[in-house]
Order: sequence, then C-alpha cells, then structure tokens
Amino acid sequence: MHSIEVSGLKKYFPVRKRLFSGKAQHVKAVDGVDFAVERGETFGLVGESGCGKTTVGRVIVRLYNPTEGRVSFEGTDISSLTQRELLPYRKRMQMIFQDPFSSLDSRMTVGDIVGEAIDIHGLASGRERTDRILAILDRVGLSKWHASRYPHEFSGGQRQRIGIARALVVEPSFIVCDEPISALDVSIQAQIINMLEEFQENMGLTYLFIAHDLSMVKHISTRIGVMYLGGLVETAGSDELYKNPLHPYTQSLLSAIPIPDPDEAVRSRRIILEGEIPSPIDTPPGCKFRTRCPMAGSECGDENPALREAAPGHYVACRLI
Amino acid sequence: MNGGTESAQGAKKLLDIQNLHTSFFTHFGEVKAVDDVSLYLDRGETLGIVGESGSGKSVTMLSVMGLLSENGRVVSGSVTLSGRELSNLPEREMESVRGNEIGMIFQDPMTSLDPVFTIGHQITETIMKHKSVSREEAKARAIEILSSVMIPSPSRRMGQYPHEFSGGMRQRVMIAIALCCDPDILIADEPTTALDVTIQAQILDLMKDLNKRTGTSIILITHDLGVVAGICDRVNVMYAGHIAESGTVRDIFHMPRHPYTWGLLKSVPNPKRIVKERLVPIKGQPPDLLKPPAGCAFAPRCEYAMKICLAKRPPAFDIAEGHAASCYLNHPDAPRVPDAPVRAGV
Repeated sequence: MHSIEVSGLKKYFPVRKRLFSGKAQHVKAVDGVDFAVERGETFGLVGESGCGKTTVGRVIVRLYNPTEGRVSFEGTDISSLTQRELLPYRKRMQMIFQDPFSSLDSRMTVGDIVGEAIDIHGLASGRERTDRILAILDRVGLSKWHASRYPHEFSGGQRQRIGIARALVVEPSFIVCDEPISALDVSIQAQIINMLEEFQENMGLTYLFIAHDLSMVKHISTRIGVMYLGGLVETAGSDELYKNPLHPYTQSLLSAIPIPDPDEAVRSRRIILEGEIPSPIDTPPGCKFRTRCPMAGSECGDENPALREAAPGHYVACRLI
Repeated sequence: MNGGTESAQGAKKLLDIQNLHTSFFTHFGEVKAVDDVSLYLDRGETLGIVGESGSGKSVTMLSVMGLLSENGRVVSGSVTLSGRELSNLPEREMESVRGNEIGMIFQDPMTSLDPVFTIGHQITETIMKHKSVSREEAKARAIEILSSVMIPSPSRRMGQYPHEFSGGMRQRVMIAIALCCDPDILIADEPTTALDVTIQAQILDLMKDLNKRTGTSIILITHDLGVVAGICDRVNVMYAGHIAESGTVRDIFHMPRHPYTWGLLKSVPNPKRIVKERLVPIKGQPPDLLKPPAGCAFAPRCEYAMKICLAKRPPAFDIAEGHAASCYLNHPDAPRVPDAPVRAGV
C-alpha cells in the first residue's frame, strides 16, 4: 500500500506584478509532479537548488497548500483538509529540517521542544510525558541530563538528534527528511544516516529523503526521483538509476558526483553541462531541460514530455528515449 | 614533517609552513586553532587540505595570508614564500604579497563581492591597486581574465552587478579577481561547497585547467574527500589543529595510516559500489579546543587508542617518502591492527 501518493501536484508562488503590464507572474516551484512512496521504503528526491524538491516535501506535509493536484496519505486525500481536520494526520507525518540551528526554538529547553509535540497531540501528561521525552532522547543518543539544556549548548550533530527526537516522539509513520545531513560534518553525517536507518527498521517508518548529495541519497534510498525545474525527469530503483540512468540530466548529474577514489576519478568520464538552470518564472516551452541538454533536437521544443515507463519500474520524461 | 626529504625538495618548494601555532584569545581562554602545523606546497602542484569544521584548515591559510580576525594571532612558527619569510612582514608589504603572489577565494562568493560596484569596477580596481597600469589597460586585462575563466560575453558582463550573476558565475568572478595579477598560488577555501554538483564540476574543471595552463599552484581547502580525489596531487588531513596525515592522493586513499583518515573514508558512501553496506561513522565529536585532550587529539574517538595515545601527543611517523602519519600505530613496536581498513584493489 502507498504511504504517500502525489498526483498532478503544482505549487506556484506569486511574485511582484510587472509595473505597467499588470500581469501577475509566478515562480513555478513545482509544476506537475506525480509519484508514490510505498510503506516502509525510502524515496529519495534529488536535484539542484531551485528544482522544487523542498517545496514538494513541504506541500506533502501541508506546510504549504498546493496550487493544484492531490496528495493522499495512507489512502486519504489530505490536500484539501482544513487545519483542524489535518491534526490527526500531522501526528503521523513529521518533518526533519536541514538547519538544526534555525529549526529549534532557542528559548525552549530540549525537553520542552520535544514535549511540545506531545502536548499538541495530547498524547501524554505528567509523569508519562516526562518518561516519553526521556525515552526518546535516549533512543537518539542523548542523555536525560540534556532535557533541561538549551539548543545553543549542543553541536550541530546533537541538534539534529534533537530534531529527530521531536519528530519521532509522536510515533509517526512517515517522515520528510529535508537535507537532514547537509549542514553536518562528514564524520557526523554517517552517525545520523545510520540512526535514521535503524529507526526505519525498528519502527517501520517511511521516508521521503530530500537531498542534493547524490551519493548519500543512493546509499539510503530504495527508489529515487530526479527533479529539474519543478518536474520529475526520471524515477527508478536506486541501483537501477545509478547503473542505467536514461535521462540526459540524470546522466550528467551522476557523472558530476565527485568520487572518493583518485583512480576512479581519473577513469570516470564527466558530462559537464553548459550554462545554468533557467528562471522558474519564464520556463522554456517544451522540455525544460532542452536549453542545457547535450542531445536536444528540434522535436524537444514541442511539448513537455511526461514520465513514461522505459523499463519495468523505471520511468523517464524524455522524447529521445 | 619528514626531515629527510625536505632538503632534497627544498628548491621546488614554493610555500613552506614550519611549526605554525595560531591561537584565538577569547573570553573563555586561548583556543589553539592551529597547533604545530608544518606543510609545504611545491611549484605547480595542487595541494588539498581536508578536515572538518574547526580542524584549523582555514585558519592555517588565513595565518599565511595575514588575514586573521582581531583576536587571532600567529604565536610562533615560520611561513616562507619562495624563501622569503612572511610572518614578520610589515602590513604594507603583506598587501603586495596578497594579490600579487597569493590570491585567495572563499566559500561564499556573494559576501566576498561588493554589491554596490560593478564586476568590471571591482576587477579593474584590484588590478590597478597591484600593478602600475592605466585604467584602459586594466580594463583590457579584466576582460581577458574574465574570458579565461570561461565567462561568456565578458565585456557586457563587466558592467553588471554581483546580484546579476548566478552562484557559479560569481565564483568564476572571484577566481578571476584572485588571478588578475598572476599570483603564484591560488588558495581556494571550500570554493564549491555552496554550489550545486553540476556547477561544482564546472568550477573544479576550471581550476584544474588553470593549473595546467598557467602553472598556478593551488591549495584547496575542503571537507569533501571526493573533490580532493579528483583534483589534488597531495593531501594533508587535519584534525583539531594538527596534521593527522599527509601524502599523495594515492597514499591517503589507498594506503591510509591514520585511524582518523580511515574513519573519514569509511563514513562516505562510494556511489560506484553496488553492494549496500552500513556506513561506519566516527564515534563521538571533535574535541573542544579550549580544553584539548592531553595526548593525541583523536584518541578519545579512536577505537585503536593505546595507553600512550592518551598521555603523549604522537610525532609524525614517516611511512614512505612524502607520506607521514601522526599516530602511534605506526611506531615499530606498536601492535599490528589486524584489519587496517585499506581501500586497495578498487
């Protein structure tokens, strides 16, 4: 069964009107995205900055309301629920943020940060509340003494543990991990990744793992979706995607990963993309990647290609394949 | 580092740092950010300095450049550039070293560029400050240098402001400014950390190309082992203000001899590997430099730590020519680590 199913999802952000023409313009952060995440799996969402991956994650947990399209969570369409109706679903969908410095309230103790989630959902009070807080802190590798301390007393890695404790304390089934390790040092990243993997095994969690670090995404994900300029260009199982990337953008993205091995780095052939990502306000007509695509032909300007199945479970949005 | 090879290579050495100590004096006490660091850069090579935040990799280079913040001071040690001692140079002469002999670029190109001046203005100013040329000549040189860092239509771009450039283009501009007076050394401090992978690949290619084309030596400071593997000739691994290990890229990636280097290599996934294996993180956290541990700084996190590691700081043990590791496991009397994790046979 699907944990999350997203169909035709769009999210436009309005930008200032032109002075004279009076035409409202929109940043098309997410422009028609469809995918599904199975229960218990990790779906990795990768792409460069501005591709809309973070917006997808935020629309799914309804931090943003979608402009169009639907998001269903464990079979229920949650895209049009009111905030009050959403509350029971909020308990089961949590989020871990990129920046462990700005995502924790600096005036609250760690115990209160974690406890706030318990209070909002009315899960426990008094002695039981305290026990739950201490139990979850212990599970993320912090001690009970940490509960009365403030976020500034912790290192980046420890703060990310607090963020994870806050997400896990309400016992969710689905977590959006938005670049959870990119602000951390290399030796600490592996600690957090291993912890997320352990929790997934023990609690049967489903993750949407958003990141730009492709080697970490490959490591943790069951399936991966590659985004470019608001749309998915390819989705496949993570090994399949890395072994057999079909979309020219995926190919260049994968070839750009720095490989931590000097001999392989010399051997590997890199496809260097020309130019930069076009503005998401005036997206080029036709395939959005064609302005940078080394293989683009005249037929690519006609329409934006939809995802289609090129091999079992391997979807690609490119007319040339 | 390794006394034997030093004199033999002396002629080639462009930059030589010996026993550098740099401290920051804070309310809480002295922070020894760089604690006895020795390293060198040969002419024409690309040297990588790898470490995590707080390892002292940036401070080492800021000490060389004389760009430490007010509460920071080089306590002792020597820095020589082509045989000339830099550490006691008056500020005026240091200014000419910066720019003419060493150029530096930083992680965030937006904060290094002045938002109220055009790119052209900022480059020509730099050239005119360091070289006695007319404005016209400086302008021509600026256009030339912009095209050499592969910025399309450079003369039009000269009249634009930093906000009109993308992140990757701004980093190209920073490289152009750093290179406009033909320095011998380009110090790049995390130049691609703020950039996307495809743009990172463009910038790294550009740096590799400049190194080949103009012979500029490069010092690349980074936390990313992948970046180092692709571009550097030699690598220094830093931890808590010390050099943990130094050697050629091959030494560091295929025959590492310091447990911290092992830890770094095992904590990043190699995307080329098909079999999925658990990452092996390094336990614990880097030490507080206000209260550094008595012995080896890495000992509290090291699974192979011996009694001596907690009491005495290890010297640099020579392993092969140009390869040294500051770890007692390399002492002839040390026990053999049965499964020293080596990434050979890839």
